[in-house]
Amino acid sequence: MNRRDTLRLGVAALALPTMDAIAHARTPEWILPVDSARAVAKRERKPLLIVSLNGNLDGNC
Amino acid sequence: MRAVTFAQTEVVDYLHRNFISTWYNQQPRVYPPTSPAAVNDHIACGCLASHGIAKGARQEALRRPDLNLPPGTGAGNVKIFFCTADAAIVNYLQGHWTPKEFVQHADFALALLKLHGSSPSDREAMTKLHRECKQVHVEASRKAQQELQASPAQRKLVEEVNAQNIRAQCHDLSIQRLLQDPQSHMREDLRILR
Repeated sequence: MNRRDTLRLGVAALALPTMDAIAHARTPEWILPVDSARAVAKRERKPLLIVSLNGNLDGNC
Repeated sequence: MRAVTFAQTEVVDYLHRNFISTWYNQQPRVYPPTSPAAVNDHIACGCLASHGIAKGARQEALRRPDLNLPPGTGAGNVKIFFCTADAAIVNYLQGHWTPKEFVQHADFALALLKLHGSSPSDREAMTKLHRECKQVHVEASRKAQQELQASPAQRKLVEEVNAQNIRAQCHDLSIQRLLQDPQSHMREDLRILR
């Protein structure tokens, strides 16, 4: 491993989100609002998963 | 859920393939959308204290509850409804679980969904499957209790008994709520607050 590779690894490590950043990031875009999800599930005939929790899914829950 | 289970690529891919996913804030008064994360953390740390989690371990438990809390902890915090395309409950899970166990419960829901609509007695077939699985957990709990009597100081065994009891209870609740719309169950806590 040369100096450039070491530097790349260092940069990659820095770019990884911390657990705190993940926990406080915004709700993932693949998770739809309840009404939209219900409508999409019905239209696509796909099972629906609802996670009901304390908070906004941008915290730790 | 957000920081561990829903942050795992494998779990996200699995959910993408098999479900349309959504979340619901069951206590918007306590956790309003504009509430800073630090305030949420403060409230959650208070809850962990009430569960007997040591002060030094609270922040880490909070960061990754799915991995750092005993399985099934937080029944009031997280309620998971696996439903048909028409939003009828087939499987219910509460509390924090590891990504692996979460996927197992989702797989179980998919097995139940295969039964749904397959025959006029699909409800009975789904109930039977829930009862059979519940029995497995009841027996596992009994076995862990016996081991606990032989070595009462083992915290892991206490957690195992609790987790097996919660798993059994989830099957009971799934049977009670089978094919119901989840809406009223999502709002239970909200009603209590009012």
